[in-house]
Amino acid sequence: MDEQELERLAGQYADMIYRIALNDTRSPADAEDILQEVLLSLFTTTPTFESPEQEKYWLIRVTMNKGKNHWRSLLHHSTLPLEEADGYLSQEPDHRALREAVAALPRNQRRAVDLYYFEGYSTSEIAAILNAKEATVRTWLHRGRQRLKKYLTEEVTL
Amino acid sequence: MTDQELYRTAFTVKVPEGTVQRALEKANSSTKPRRRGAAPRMLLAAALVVALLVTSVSAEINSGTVTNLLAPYFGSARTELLEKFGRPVGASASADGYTITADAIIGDRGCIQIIYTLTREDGQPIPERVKFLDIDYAIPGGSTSCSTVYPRQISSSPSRGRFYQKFFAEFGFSRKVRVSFGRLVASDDPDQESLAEGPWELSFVRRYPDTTRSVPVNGLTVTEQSGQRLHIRTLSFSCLGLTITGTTESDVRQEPTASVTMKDGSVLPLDTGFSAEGSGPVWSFDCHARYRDQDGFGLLDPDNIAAITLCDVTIPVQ
Repeated sequence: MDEQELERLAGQYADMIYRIALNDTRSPADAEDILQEVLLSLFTTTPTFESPEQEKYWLIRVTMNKGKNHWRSLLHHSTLPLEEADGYLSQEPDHRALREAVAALPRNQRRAVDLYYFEGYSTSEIAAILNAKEATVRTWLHRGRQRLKKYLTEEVTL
Repeated sequence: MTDQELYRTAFTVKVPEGTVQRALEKANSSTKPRRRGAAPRMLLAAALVVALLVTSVSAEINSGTVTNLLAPYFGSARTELLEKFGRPVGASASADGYTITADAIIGDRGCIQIIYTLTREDGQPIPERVKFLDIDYAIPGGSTSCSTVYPRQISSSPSRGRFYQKFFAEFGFSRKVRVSFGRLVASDDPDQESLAEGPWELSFVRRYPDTTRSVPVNGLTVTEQSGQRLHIRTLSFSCLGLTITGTTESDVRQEPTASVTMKDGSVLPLDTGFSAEGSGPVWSFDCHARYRDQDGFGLLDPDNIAAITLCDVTIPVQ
Protein backbone atom coordinates (compact mmCIF):
# COMPACT_ATOMS: atom_id res chain seq x y z
CA MET A 1 0.00 0.00 0.00
CA ASP A 2 1.42 3.41 -0.90
CA GLU A 3 1.88 6.13 1.69
CA GLN A 4 -0.87 8.32 0.23
CA GLU A 5 -3.49 5.59 0.53
CA LEU A 6 -2.29 4.73 4.04
CA GLU A 7 -2.63 8.39 5.06
CA ARG A 8 -6.13 8.51 3.62
CA LEU A 9 -7.20 5.46 5.59
CA ALA A 10 -5.48 6.74 8.73
CA GLY A 11 -7.24 10.09 8.41
CA GLN A 12 -10.60 8.44 7.89
CA TYR A 13 -10.44 5.65 10.46
CA ALA A 14 -7.86 6.61 13.12
CA ASP A 15 -10.52 7.84 15.55
CA MET A 16 -12.53 4.64 15.09
CA ILE A 17 -9.50 2.36 15.55
CA TYR A 18 -8.32 4.31 18.58
CA ARG A 19 -11.80 4.34 20.11
CA ILE A 20 -12.29 0.58 19.70
CA ALA A 21 -8.81 -0.12 21.07
CA LEU A 22 -9.34 2.27 23.99
CA ASN A 23 -12.64 0.62 24.87
CA ASP A 24 -10.95 -2.76 24.65
CA THR A 25 -7.85 -2.01 26.71
CA ARG A 26 -8.84 1.11 28.71
CA SER A 27 -5.28 2.23 28.24
CA PRO A 28 -4.39 5.19 25.99
CA ALA A 29 -0.86 3.81 25.59
CA ASP A 30 -2.16 0.42 24.49
CA ALA A 31 -4.71 2.05 22.19
CA GLU A 32 -1.94 4.03 20.54
CA ASP A 33 0.17 0.89 20.14
CA ILE A 34 -2.76 -0.94 18.58
CA LEU A 35 -3.39 1.96 16.18
CA GLN A 36 0.24 1.70 15.10
CA GLU A 37 -0.04 -2.06 14.66
CA VAL A 38 -3.20 -1.78 12.59
CA LEU A 39 -1.67 0.82 10.29
CA LEU A 40 1.42 -1.35 9.99
CA SER A 41 -0.79 -4.29 9.00
CA LEU A 42 -2.40 -2.12 6.34
CA PHE A 43 0.98 -1.04 5.06
CA THR A 44 2.54 -4.49 4.94
CA THR A 45 -0.38 -6.70 3.85
CA THR A 46 -1.81 -4.31 1.23
CA PRO A 47 -5.37 -5.60 1.36
CA THR A 48 -7.72 -4.70 -1.49
CA PHE A 49 -11.20 -3.58 -0.58
CA GLU A 50 -14.22 -3.81 -2.81
CA SER A 51 -16.25 -1.25 -0.88
CA PRO A 52 -15.94 1.24 1.98
CA GLU A 53 -18.02 -1.14 4.11
CA GLN A 54 -15.51 -3.94 3.56
CA GLU A 55 -12.67 -1.52 4.32
CA LYS A 56 -14.23 -0.58 7.66
CA TYR A 57 -15.13 -4.20 8.45
CA TRP A 58 -11.53 -5.31 7.84
CA LEU A 59 -10.14 -2.55 10.05
CA ILE A 60 -12.51 -3.34 12.92
CA ARG A 61 -11.66 -7.03 12.75
CA VAL A 62 -7.93 -6.39 12.71
CA THR A 63 -8.22 -3.84 15.55
CA MET A 64 -10.14 -6.30 17.69
CA ASN A 65 -7.69 -9.09 16.91
CA LYS A 66 -4.79 -6.87 17.92
CA GLY A 67 -6.60 -5.92 21.10
CA LYS A 68 -7.26 -9.51 22.11
CA ASN A 69 -3.90 -10.01 23.59
CA HIS A 70 -2.09 -6.79 23.95
CA TRP A 71 0.79 -7.45 26.27
CA ARG A 72 0.05 -4.69 28.71
CA SER A 73 -3.69 -5.07 28.71
CA LEU A 74 -3.82 -7.29 31.75
CA LEU A 75 -1.83 -4.88 33.87
CA HIS A 76 -3.92 -1.92 32.83
CA HIS A 77 -7.24 -3.66 32.58
CA SER A 78 -7.87 -4.33 36.19
CA THR A 79 -5.91 -1.54 37.80
CA LEU A 80 -6.13 1.59 35.69
CA PRO A 81 -8.65 4.07 37.08
CA LEU A 82 -11.18 4.92 34.41
CA GLU A 83 -10.54 8.63 34.64
CA GLU A 84 -6.92 8.06 33.64
CA ALA A 85 -7.99 6.14 30.58
CA ASP A 86 -10.64 8.67 29.75
CA GLY A 87 -9.94 10.61 26.59
CA TYR A 88 -13.58 10.90 25.64
CA LEU A 89 -15.02 14.21 24.51
CA SER A 90 -18.09 14.24 26.72
CA GLN A 91 -17.49 14.68 30.44
CA GLU A 92 -21.19 14.74 31.39
CA PRO A 93 -21.64 12.75 34.61
CA ASP A 94 -24.30 10.54 32.99
CA HIS A 95 -22.01 9.77 30.09
CA ARG A 96 -19.14 8.95 32.42
CA ALA A 97 -21.44 6.65 34.39
CA LEU A 98 -22.48 4.88 31.18
CA ARG A 99 -18.84 4.48 30.17
CA GLU A 100 -18.00 3.00 33.55
CA ALA A 101 -20.92 0.60 33.32
CA VAL A 102 -19.86 -0.51 29.83
CA ALA A 103 -16.25 -0.86 30.97
CA ALA A 104 -17.43 -3.24 33.70
CA LEU A 105 -19.01 -5.60 31.18
CA PRO A 106 -17.20 -8.80 30.20
CA ARG A 107 -15.19 -8.26 27.04
CA ASN A 108 -17.50 -10.09 24.62
CA GLN A 109 -20.56 -8.22 25.88
CA ARG A 110 -18.68 -4.94 25.75
CA ARG A 111 -17.58 -5.52 22.16
CA ALA A 112 -21.05 -6.57 21.03
CA VAL A 113 -22.71 -3.59 22.73
CA ASP A 114 -20.18 -1.21 21.24
CA LEU A 115 -20.54 -2.54 17.69
CA TYR A 116 -24.32 -2.43 18.02
CA TYR A 117 -24.77 1.01 19.53
CA PHE A 118 -21.80 2.96 18.22
CA GLU A 119 -21.07 1.40 14.84
CA GLY A 120 -24.70 0.50 14.18
CA TYR A 121 -24.04 -3.06 13.06
CA SER A 122 -26.74 -5.73 13.05
CA THR A 123 -26.36 -8.89 15.10
CA SER A 124 -25.44 -10.89 11.98
CA GLU A 125 -22.75 -8.36 11.08
CA ILE A 126 -21.42 -8.40 14.65
CA ALA A 127 -21.34 -12.20 14.51
CA ALA A 128 -19.20 -12.00 11.38
CA ILE A 129 -16.84 -9.44 12.92
CA LEU A 130 -16.43 -11.32 16.19
CA ASN A 131 -16.35 -14.72 14.48
CA ALA A 132 -19.21 -15.92 16.66
CA LYS A 133 -22.62 -17.41 16.11
CA GLU A 134 -25.46 -14.92 15.75
CA ALA A 135 -27.34 -16.51 18.65
CA THR A 136 -24.28 -16.03 20.83
CA VAL A 137 -24.10 -12.37 19.88
CA ARG A 138 -27.78 -11.94 20.75
CA THR A 139 -27.05 -13.46 24.16
CA TRP A 140 -24.11 -11.11 24.71
CA LEU A 141 -26.22 -8.12 23.70
CA HIS A 142 -29.11 -9.22 25.87
CA ARG A 143 -26.91 -9.71 28.91
CA GLY A 144 -25.05 -6.48 28.25
CA ARG A 145 -28.30 -4.55 27.94
CA GLN A 146 -29.60 -6.11 31.15
CA ARG A 147 -26.64 -4.66 32.98
CA LEU A 148 -26.99 -1.30 31.25
CA LYS A 149 -30.75 -0.96 31.57
CA LYS A 150 -30.36 1.99 33.90
CA TYR A 151 -28.87 3.93 30.99
CA LEU A 152 -30.20 2.30 27.81
CA THR A 153 -33.93 2.27 28.22
CA GLU A 154 -35.38 1.56 24.77
CA GLU A 155 -37.00 -1.78 24.13
CA VAL A 156 -35.01 -3.70 21.55
CA THR A 157 -35.94 -6.89 19.75
CA LEU A 158 -32.72 -8.71 18.94
CA MET B 1 -32.26 11.24 22.55
CA THR B 2 -32.28 7.61 21.43
CA ASP B 3 -30.10 4.99 23.10
CA GLN B 4 -27.84 4.98 20.07
CA GLU B 5 -27.42 8.77 20.12
CA LEU B 6 -26.74 8.70 23.86
CA TYR B 7 -24.18 5.93 23.45
CA ARG B 8 -22.43 7.67 20.57
CA THR B 9 -22.24 10.94 22.48
CA ALA B 10 -20.81 9.21 25.53
CA PHE B 11 -18.23 7.23 23.59
CA THR B 12 -17.03 9.70 20.98
CA VAL B 13 -13.30 10.09 21.32
CA LYS B 14 -10.65 11.82 19.24
CA VAL B 15 -7.29 10.23 18.77
CA PRO B 16 -4.74 12.42 20.60
CA GLU B 17 -2.80 14.94 18.56
CA GLY B 18 0.37 13.53 17.02
CA THR B 19 -0.66 9.90 17.50
CA VAL B 20 -1.59 9.29 13.87
CA GLN B 21 1.59 10.95 12.64
CA ARG B 22 3.69 8.76 14.95
CA ALA B 23 1.82 5.66 13.79
CA LEU B 24 2.35 6.54 10.13
CA GLU B 25 6.03 7.21 10.69
CA LYS B 26 6.42 3.87 12.43
CA ALA B 27 4.61 2.06 9.62
CA ASN B 28 6.74 3.72 6.99
CA SER B 29 9.99 3.16 8.87
CA SER B 30 9.27 -0.54 9.17
CA THR B 31 10.24 -1.03 5.53
CA LYS B 32 13.72 0.49 5.85
CA PRO B 33 16.54 -1.96 4.97
CA ARG B 34 18.30 -3.59 7.88
CA ARG B 35 21.87 -2.76 8.72
CA ARG B 36 24.52 -4.87 7.08
CA GLY B 37 26.10 -7.36 9.40
CA ALA B 38 23.12 -7.47 11.71
CA ALA B 39 21.78 -10.78 10.38
CA PRO B 40 24.67 -13.03 11.48
CA ARG B 41 24.66 -11.48 14.94
CA MET B 42 20.91 -11.89 15.23
CA LEU B 43 21.14 -15.51 14.08
CA LEU B 44 23.83 -16.18 16.67
CA ALA B 45 21.74 -14.53 19.40
CA ALA B 46 18.65 -16.47 18.33
CA ALA B 47 20.60 -19.74 18.36
CA LEU B 48 21.83 -19.01 21.88
CA VAL B 49 18.27 -18.23 23.04
CA VAL B 50 16.98 -21.46 21.50
CA ALA B 51 19.78 -23.47 23.13
CA LEU B 52 18.99 -21.93 26.53
CA LEU B 53 15.28 -22.57 26.12
CA VAL B 54 15.82 -26.19 25.08
CA THR B 55 18.08 -26.75 28.07
CA SER B 56 15.67 -25.18 30.56
CA VAL B 57 12.62 -26.90 29.10
CA SER B 58 14.33 -30.30 29.19
CA ALA B 59 15.27 -29.79 32.80
CA GLU B 60 11.70 -28.80 33.67
CA ILE B 61 10.20 -31.72 31.78
CA ASN B 62 12.36 -34.19 33.65
CA SER B 63 11.58 -32.73 37.04
CA GLY B 64 7.83 -33.02 37.57
CA THR B 65 4.69 -35.04 37.07
CA VAL B 66 1.04 -34.23 37.46
CA THR B 67 -0.39 -37.55 38.60
CA ASN B 68 -0.20 -36.73 42.27
CA LEU B 69 -2.04 -33.46 41.72
CA LEU B 70 -4.80 -34.67 39.49
CA ALA B 71 -5.24 -38.40 39.85
CA PRO B 72 -8.13 -38.10 42.34
CA TYR B 73 -10.15 -36.02 39.90
CA PHE B 74 -9.60 -37.65 36.52
CA GLY B 75 -10.33 -41.08 35.15
CA SER B 76 -7.40 -43.40 34.68
CA ALA B 77 -7.15 -42.97 30.89
CA ARG B 78 -6.90 -39.20 31.09
CA THR B 79 -4.58 -39.35 34.05
CA GLU B 80 -2.22 -41.49 31.97
CA LEU B 81 -2.28 -38.93 29.17
CA LEU B 82 -1.78 -36.07 31.60
CA GLU B 83 1.10 -37.95 33.13
CA LYS B 84 2.59 -38.35 29.68
CA PHE B 85 2.03 -34.87 28.27
CA GLY B 86 1.12 -32.49 31.12
CA ARG B 87 3.36 -30.67 33.52
CA PRO B 88 2.71 -29.07 36.94
CA VAL B 89 2.39 -25.28 37.27
CA GLY B 90 1.79 -24.51 40.95
CA ALA B 91 0.96 -20.77 40.69
CA SER B 92 -1.80 -19.54 42.98
CA ALA B 93 -3.58 -16.37 44.11
CA SER B 94 -5.89 -15.75 47.07
CA ALA B 95 -8.53 -13.08 47.65
CA ASP B 96 -11.78 -12.75 49.58
CA GLY B 97 -11.53 -16.22 51.10
CA TYR B 98 -10.98 -18.07 47.83
CA THR B 99 -7.78 -19.38 46.29
CA ILE B 100 -7.19 -20.20 42.64
CA THR B 101 -4.34 -22.57 41.87
CA ALA B 102 -3.06 -23.32 38.38
CA ASP B 103 -2.31 -27.02 38.82
CA ALA B 104 -1.12 -28.24 35.47
CA ILE B 105 -0.54 -27.25 31.87
CA ILE B 106 -0.62 -29.21 28.65
CA GLY B 107 -0.09 -27.82 25.20
CA ASP B 108 1.25 -27.87 21.69
CA ARG B 109 2.74 -25.40 19.24
CA GLY B 110 -0.34 -23.18 19.10
CA CYS B 111 -2.49 -24.01 22.11
CA ILE B 112 -2.28 -24.49 25.85
CA GLN B 113 -4.79 -25.89 28.30
CA ILE B 114 -4.49 -25.06 31.97
CA ILE B 115 -6.15 -26.96 34.79
CA TYR B 116 -7.13 -24.92 37.84
CA THR B 117 -8.54 -25.57 41.27
CA LEU B 118 -10.77 -23.08 43.07
CA THR B 119 -10.67 -23.57 46.84
CA ARG B 120 -12.88 -21.99 49.47
CA GLU B 121 -10.53 -21.40 52.35
CA ASP B 122 -13.06 -21.75 55.19
CA GLY B 123 -13.77 -25.32 54.11
CA GLN B 124 -17.44 -24.65 53.37
CA PRO B 125 -18.85 -26.02 50.11
CA ILE B 126 -18.78 -23.79 47.06
CA PRO B 127 -21.94 -23.79 44.91
CA GLU B 128 -22.01 -26.72 42.50
CA ARG B 129 -21.47 -24.41 39.57
CA VAL B 130 -19.86 -21.01 39.72
CA LYS B 131 -18.36 -18.70 37.14
CA PHE B 132 -16.15 -15.66 36.82
CA LEU B 133 -17.65 -12.57 35.23
CA ASP B 134 -14.26 -11.02 34.53
CA ILE B 135 -11.46 -12.94 32.88
CA ASP B 136 -8.41 -11.37 31.36
CA TYR B 137 -5.06 -12.65 30.19
CA ALA B 138 -1.81 -11.73 28.50
CA ILE B 139 0.44 -14.02 26.53
CA PRO B 140 3.32 -12.50 24.58
CA GLY B 141 3.14 -13.30 20.89
CA GLY B 142 0.48 -13.02 18.25
CA SER B 143 -3.25 -12.80 18.58
CA THR B 144 -4.80 -15.05 21.19
CA SER B 145 -8.21 -16.38 21.98
CA CYS B 146 -9.27 -17.84 25.28
CA SER B 147 -12.10 -20.05 26.42
CA THR B 148 -12.84 -21.00 29.99
CA VAL B 149 -14.87 -23.94 31.26
CA TYR B 150 -16.31 -22.68 34.54
CA PRO B 151 -15.57 -24.34 37.88
CA ARG B 152 -17.60 -27.32 38.98
CA GLN B 153 -17.61 -28.57 42.51
CA ILE B 154 -15.47 -31.64 43.10
CA SER B 155 -17.94 -34.06 44.64
CA SER B 156 -15.36 -35.71 46.90
CA SER B 157 -14.15 -32.32 48.13
CA PRO B 158 -17.06 -29.82 48.09
CA SER B 159 -14.99 -26.83 49.14
CA ARG B 160 -13.11 -27.11 45.87
CA GLY B 161 -13.96 -26.77 42.20
CA ARG B 162 -12.06 -27.74 39.08
CA PHE B 163 -11.94 -25.68 35.92
CA TYR B 164 -10.04 -25.42 32.67
CA GLN B 165 -8.86 -22.70 30.37
CA LYS B 166 -7.69 -22.97 26.80
CA PHE B 167 -5.60 -20.45 24.87
CA PHE B 168 -4.81 -20.34 21.19
CA ALA B 169 -1.83 -18.15 20.36
CA GLU B 170 1.11 -17.59 18.10
CA PHE B 171 3.51 -18.00 20.98
CA GLY B 172 6.62 -15.84 21.00
CA PHE B 173 9.93 -16.61 22.66
CA SER B 174 8.72 -15.41 26.03
CA ARG B 175 6.99 -18.14 28.00
CA LYS B 176 5.27 -15.90 30.55
CA VAL B 177 1.54 -16.32 31.01
CA ARG B 178 -0.56 -13.91 33.03
CA VAL B 179 -4.17 -14.65 33.82
CA SER B 180 -6.64 -12.67 35.88
CA PHE B 181 -10.04 -13.69 37.25
CA GLY B 182 -12.60 -11.49 38.95
CA ARG B 183 -16.18 -11.44 40.27
CA LEU B 184 -17.01 -15.00 41.21
CA VAL B 185 -20.76 -15.66 41.09
CA ALA B 186 -23.05 -18.68 41.29
CA SER B 187 -24.04 -19.70 37.75
CA ASP B 188 -27.71 -20.02 38.61
CA ASP B 189 -27.98 -16.69 40.44
CA PRO B 190 -30.13 -14.41 38.26
CA ASP B 191 -28.85 -11.32 40.10
CA GLN B 192 -25.25 -12.43 39.76
CA GLU B 193 -24.33 -11.30 43.26
CA SER B 194 -20.61 -11.67 43.80
CA LEU B 195 -19.51 -14.49 46.09
CA ALA B 196 -16.07 -12.93 45.94
CA GLU B 197 -14.75 -9.99 43.97
CA GLY B 198 -11.10 -10.90 43.56
CA PRO B 199 -9.14 -10.17 41.49
CA TRP B 200 -7.05 -13.32 41.38
CA GLU B 201 -3.98 -12.64 39.26
CA LEU B 202 -1.66 -15.51 38.39
CA SER B 203 1.65 -15.37 36.60
CA PHE B 204 3.63 -18.40 35.54
CA VAL B 205 5.84 -19.84 32.83
CA ARG B 206 4.42 -22.22 30.25
CA ARG B 207 6.56 -25.33 30.05
CA TYR B 208 5.43 -28.63 28.62
CA PRO B 209 6.54 -31.16 26.00
CA ASP B 210 5.27 -30.04 22.60
CA THR B 211 3.70 -33.10 20.93
CA THR B 212 3.01 -31.32 17.63
CA ARG B 213 3.58 -33.54 14.57
CA SER B 214 3.33 -32.30 10.99
CA VAL B 215 1.49 -34.20 8.27
CA PRO B 216 2.61 -33.69 4.64
CA VAL B 217 -0.31 -32.30 2.64
CA ASN B 218 1.22 -31.57 -0.81
CA GLY B 219 -1.32 -29.10 -2.13
CA LEU B 220 -4.33 -30.83 -0.61
CA THR B 221 -7.72 -29.23 -1.27
CA VAL B 222 -10.83 -30.27 0.67
CA THR B 223 -14.45 -29.26 0.12
CA GLU B 224 -16.79 -28.32 2.93
CA GLN B 225 -20.46 -29.36 2.80
CA SER B 226 -21.42 -25.85 1.68
CA GLY B 227 -19.16 -26.25 -1.36
CA GLN B 228 -16.43 -24.01 0.04
CA ARG B 229 -12.99 -25.19 -1.09
CA LEU B 230 -10.15 -25.04 1.42
CA HIS B 231 -6.58 -25.22 0.14
CA ILE B 232 -4.55 -26.75 2.96
CA ARG B 233 -1.09 -25.31 3.52
CA THR B 234 -0.12 -27.04 6.77
CA LEU B 235 -1.68 -29.77 8.88
CA SER B 236 -0.42 -30.89 12.26
CA PHE B 237 -1.76 -32.85 15.20
CA SER B 238 -0.92 -33.20 18.86
CA CYS B 239 -2.39 -34.47 22.11
CA LEU B 240 -4.90 -31.61 21.91
CA GLY B 241 -6.16 -32.07 18.35
CA LEU B 242 -5.47 -30.62 14.91
CA THR B 243 -4.14 -27.33 13.60
CA ILE B 244 -4.81 -26.49 9.98
CA THR B 245 -3.77 -23.44 7.97
CA GLY B 246 -4.45 -22.58 4.37
CA THR B 247 -6.30 -20.33 2.00
CA THR B 248 -9.79 -20.10 0.65
CA GLU B 249 -11.72 -17.87 -1.72
CA SER B 250 -13.85 -16.00 0.79
CA ASP B 251 -14.45 -15.49 4.46
CA VAL B 252 -15.86 -18.78 5.69
CA ARG B 253 -18.95 -18.77 7.86
CA GLN B 254 -19.43 -22.52 8.24
CA GLU B 255 -16.76 -24.23 10.25
CA PRO B 256 -15.20 -27.20 8.46
CA THR B 257 -15.79 -30.66 9.87
CA ALA B 258 -12.89 -32.67 11.24
CA SER B 259 -12.41 -35.97 13.02
CA VAL B 260 -9.68 -38.43 13.89
CA THR B 261 -9.76 -42.20 13.56
CA MET B 262 -7.86 -43.96 16.31
CA LYS B 263 -5.93 -47.19 15.81
CA ASP B 264 -8.68 -49.13 17.60
CA GLY B 265 -11.14 -47.99 14.91
CA SER B 266 -13.02 -45.46 17.02
CA VAL B 267 -13.81 -42.13 15.37
CA LEU B 268 -13.67 -38.97 17.46
CA PRO B 269 -15.36 -35.85 16.07
CA LEU B 270 -13.56 -32.60 16.81
CA ASP B 271 -14.83 -29.12 17.62
CA THR B 272 -13.49 -26.69 15.07
CA GLY B 273 -12.74 -23.04 15.64
CA PHE B 274 -12.11 -21.11 12.48
CA SER B 275 -10.84 -17.63 11.76
CA ALA B 276 -10.01 -16.08 8.41
CA GLU B 277 -8.37 -12.84 7.42
CA GLY B 278 -8.14 -11.31 4.01
CA SER B 279 -10.12 -9.65 1.28
CA GLY B 280 -11.13 -10.24 -2.30
CA PRO B 281 -10.40 -13.68 -3.73
CA VAL B 282 -7.78 -14.88 -1.23
CA TRP B 283 -8.38 -15.37 2.48
CA SER B 284 -5.88 -16.97 4.81
CA PHE B 285 -7.32 -19.11 7.55
CA ASP B 286 -6.34 -20.81 10.78
CA CYS B 287 -8.37 -23.69 12.05
CA HIS B 288 -8.00 -25.43 15.39
CA ALA B 289 -9.94 -28.67 15.71
CA ARG B 290 -9.96 -29.96 19.26
CA TYR B 291 -11.29 -33.02 20.97
CA ARG B 292 -13.57 -32.14 23.85
CA ASP B 293 -15.15 -34.67 26.14
CA GLN B 294 -18.19 -34.11 28.31
CA ASP B 295 -16.55 -31.98 30.96
CA GLY B 296 -14.70 -29.84 28.47
CA PHE B 297 -11.17 -31.15 28.81
CA GLY B 298 -10.18 -33.35 25.90
CA LEU B 299 -6.96 -35.22 25.36
CA LEU B 300 -5.80 -37.56 22.63
CA ASP B 301 -2.80 -39.82 22.46
CA PRO B 302 -1.14 -38.79 19.19
CA ASP B 303 0.62 -42.16 19.05
CA ASN B 304 -2.78 -43.81 18.61
CA ILE B 305 -4.12 -41.67 15.74
CA ALA B 306 -4.45 -43.69 12.54
CA ALA B 307 -6.08 -41.16 10.22
CA ILE B 308 -7.38 -37.60 10.04
CA THR B 309 -10.53 -36.64 8.18
CA LEU B 310 -10.95 -33.07 6.99
CA CYS B 311 -14.30 -32.33 5.36
CA ASP B 312 -14.46 -34.88 2.52
CA VAL B 313 -10.87 -36.17 2.62
CA THR B 314 -9.25 -38.76 4.91
CA ILE B 315 -5.49 -38.59 5.36
CA PRO B 316 -3.73 -41.65 6.83
CA VAL B 317 -1.16 -40.87 9.51
CA GLN B 318 2.08 -42.78 9.24
